Amino acid sequence: MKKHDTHEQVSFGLWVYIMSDCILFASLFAAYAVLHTQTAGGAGGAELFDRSFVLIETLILLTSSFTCGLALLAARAKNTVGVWLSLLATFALGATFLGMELSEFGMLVSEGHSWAASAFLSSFFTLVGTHGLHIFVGLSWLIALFIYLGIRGLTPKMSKRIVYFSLFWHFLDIVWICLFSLVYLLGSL
Amino acid sequence: MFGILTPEAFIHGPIETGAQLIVVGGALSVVLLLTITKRWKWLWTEWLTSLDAKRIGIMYLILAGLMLARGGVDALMMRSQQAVAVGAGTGYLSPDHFAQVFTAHGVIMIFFVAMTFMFGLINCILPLQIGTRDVSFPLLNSISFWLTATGAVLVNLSLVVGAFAATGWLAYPPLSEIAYSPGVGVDYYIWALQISGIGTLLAAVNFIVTIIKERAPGMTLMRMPIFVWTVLGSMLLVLFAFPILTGTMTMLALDRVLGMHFFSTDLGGNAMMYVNLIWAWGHPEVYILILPAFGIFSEIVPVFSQKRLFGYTSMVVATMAIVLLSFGVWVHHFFTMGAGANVNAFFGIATMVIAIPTGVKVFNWIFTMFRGRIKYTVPMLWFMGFLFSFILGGMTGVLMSVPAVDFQLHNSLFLVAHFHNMVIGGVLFGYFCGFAYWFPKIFGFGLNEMLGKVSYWLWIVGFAMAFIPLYILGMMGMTRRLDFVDAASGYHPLLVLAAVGAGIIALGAAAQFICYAVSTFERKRHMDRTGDYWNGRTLEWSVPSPAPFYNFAHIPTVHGRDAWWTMKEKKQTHEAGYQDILLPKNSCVGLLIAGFSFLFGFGMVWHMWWLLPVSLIGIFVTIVVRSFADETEYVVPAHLVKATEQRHHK
Amino acid sequence: MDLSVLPRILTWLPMTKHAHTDIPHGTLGSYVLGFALSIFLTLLAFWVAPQLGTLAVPAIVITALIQLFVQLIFFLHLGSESKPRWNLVIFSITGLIIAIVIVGTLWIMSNLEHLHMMPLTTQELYEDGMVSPAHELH
Repeated sequence: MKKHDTHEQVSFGLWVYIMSDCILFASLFAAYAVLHTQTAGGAGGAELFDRSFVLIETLILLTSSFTCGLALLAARAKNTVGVWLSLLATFALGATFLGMELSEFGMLVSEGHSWAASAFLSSFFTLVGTHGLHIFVGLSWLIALFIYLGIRGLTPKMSKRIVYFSLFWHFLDIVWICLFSLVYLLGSL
Repeated sequence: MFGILTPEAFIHGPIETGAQLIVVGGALSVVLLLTITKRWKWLWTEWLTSLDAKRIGIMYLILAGLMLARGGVDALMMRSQQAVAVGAGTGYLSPDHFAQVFTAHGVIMIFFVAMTFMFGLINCILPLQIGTRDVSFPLLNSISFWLTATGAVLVNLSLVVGAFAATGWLAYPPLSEIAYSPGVGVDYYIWALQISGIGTLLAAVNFIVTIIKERAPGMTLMRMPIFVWTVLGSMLLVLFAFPILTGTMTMLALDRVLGMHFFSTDLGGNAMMYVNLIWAWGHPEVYILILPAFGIFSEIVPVFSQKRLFGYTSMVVATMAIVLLSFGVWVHHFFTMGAGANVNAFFGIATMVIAIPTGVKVFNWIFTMFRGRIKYTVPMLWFMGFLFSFILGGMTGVLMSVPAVDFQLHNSLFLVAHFHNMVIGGVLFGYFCGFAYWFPKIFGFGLNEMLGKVSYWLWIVGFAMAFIPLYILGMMGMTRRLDFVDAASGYHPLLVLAAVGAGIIALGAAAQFICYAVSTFERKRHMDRTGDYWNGRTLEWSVPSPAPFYNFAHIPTVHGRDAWWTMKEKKQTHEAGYQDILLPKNSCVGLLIAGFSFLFGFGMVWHMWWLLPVSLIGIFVTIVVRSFADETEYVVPAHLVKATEQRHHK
Repeated sequence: MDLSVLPRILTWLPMTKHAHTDIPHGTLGSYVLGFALSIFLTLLAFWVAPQLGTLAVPAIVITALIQLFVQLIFFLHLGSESKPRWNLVIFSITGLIIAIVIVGTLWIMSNLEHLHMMPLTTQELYEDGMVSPAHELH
């Protein structure tokens, strides 16, 4: 008898899916690279990006990635309290990150630099926004995990799901490295 | 509440109303038929919620057949319009309606016929060929199918509510921007492609994992049937190309909905970037479709030449070379856009290079036939037709890979003839070939050979008659997508000839449906009692026909290439006795997710914003509820397996 | 190259594997080290790299690349799975495709822009391969 959806298959399948997501980001990066000089006479990255704000965002996301790793270790040690604490920390950090991103967007729009102002801003909002959307999906995934964890506890199934979630969450970290380096840092030079 | 949806969206001209009535009437009559025959429960448990790859495959095939009829009617409308709209005659289609027809024809034929047909055959055959009971993720498989079906429903819904895009099948901006296409047509296009595209991508993930992780013991990579190799190549291409389509469609949607400036004509937007990105997906897409067709030919040519395949290793290398090279040729779709000679020359040469592995394959098939005892069955005829058509199409393709030549022929009917040569003569003939070959395995009985041959000859004659005139018209300078030509142009006689050819193709398609109907009626005469209808070489022929729901009572152990042939030669038998088998239970999650995705797409098209959170929450709740399902599998007890096997072998 | 030895050497801790499956995972040591390296590289990229003048761009790109690999190895355990390394194979092809799509797009689009947006002399066009020497003779 062979069981379907075994751990090996699912984590490999998720990895394969993540690769396709990388290509999605690559096409958005390509669009940004082509359009980032097209400011239509408006402000460019150098005037708009706040480097220290982005540094705080980055540190928050990096820490959330670390707490996500801790959740994995706690799950392996069958430490339910540890899993709860580390996943809640991941959620809080992720939500803070998303909140900061949205407040940055709100600031830009209120100062007249909305996505409709130039091709540069369109591609910027879309690229960063797509990462934000992925963070949102990750947070929804966490909520789904909390619901299961609250009702069923730390079952073996749950431990596997934490592994899958961590794969996705670490991947978002990697995309963000490309984002802050290529968009914010190079853009603010 | 209803966004921009008003009662006027339901009111159309006379021809559109006819189409509207056919769609609504067709749907209603199916509902009525099911209710009268009390088949709803049967439909729900046996088909709609089934996670059996073979069932899902057949549903893909049915969807492809329906869409082929729809796309075929579009083709007949175009050909007849062009045949009559000359000089004083204006034809029966308005320019806008004509534009919708050719757009819908392209979209439907590529996304909902070719892709769907491909996934149908893969689902029915691939798990059997690699010796597994199912794909890696059966539920994901169901979700993929239903998302594809949702895309098809959205496209056809545009016949009833609103209108379809009138932009050509790739919806180039700035024409597809809100300023020039203010209606909902382009939005239908975008969301049909987005939703079915996600389905396609998930299916690709599923089959990549299945091929890599689920092969029967002993089936090393270099023992896989070539069809499995080509599907792996095709699925890798889906994985790497479809996200680009998703990204590009997202940008176009953002331009239209949020007023962004990716491809607009002002504030720095660049429409040429759309052309660049869409073809970075579009060219691999051609190979996504043709690779499995190549795989099918590599399966049937050895069987009907009664020899092993010539050059297995070179076939594998050629397949993987095509996978890689297909990502380096996309500019040949827009040589005339104005890039410099360096760019055009690079991509022109790359295009010529990709003809080499393709040529290797053609030679391998021919060498396989050399000194074989060839049986001219219907699948083999489709292969012969393919060779003729594909070589013609390949030659004209290499011709156009020279940028200077392409400047003369770009967007002419020469191009239209070329790609139909590849997509009908290559892809569609390949799938017809595979369908005729695997029909006994899928349904348990063979097809009427005589009617199959009639249909084949009608197709091939009609095809030559419909498309060779287009080559000539293209050389005469006729551009594509014209709803009217001047009498003095001299195009008319050839357009009439092409229309007659299209009519003959329609007869061929009708003959095919008659063939399936007659064969079903007289199935007792063509029953496949051995499971090995054609004296096959690969594992799908080692099980009874149709394959039992668990595929294999014993998972086979593979000892060489042509696994089933080796077993037959060695008279290898299974171990005695039967064991319990674990199979996935039915699930309606795929249907639910597709239903919510439909609401999402419909909300986006008609700006009913409240539908978006509703549908997303629906999907979320579905997934959370599913995450609590513990018993997702059931046990088929050994005695039931034994009884089923004995019934088949009687 | 067996990438899995990297964290092992750096942390002196064995990379353990599940008994029944092949899914590799980290240890507390490897996570802490990965986290520390990431923070360090991030601060480097934000504080030091932009001060380097002409070297700023390569410095930012290089720190990003290093951090990419740090995360791939310490958090995603790339390369430490058992053979055959399908994750690594698929990842490598993905990297290649990303390079083709981005570099190709930039090349094509810059070529177009070059031709359409800027008035060029015949000499410049010739140097870019956009006109042939024969054209120049007129």
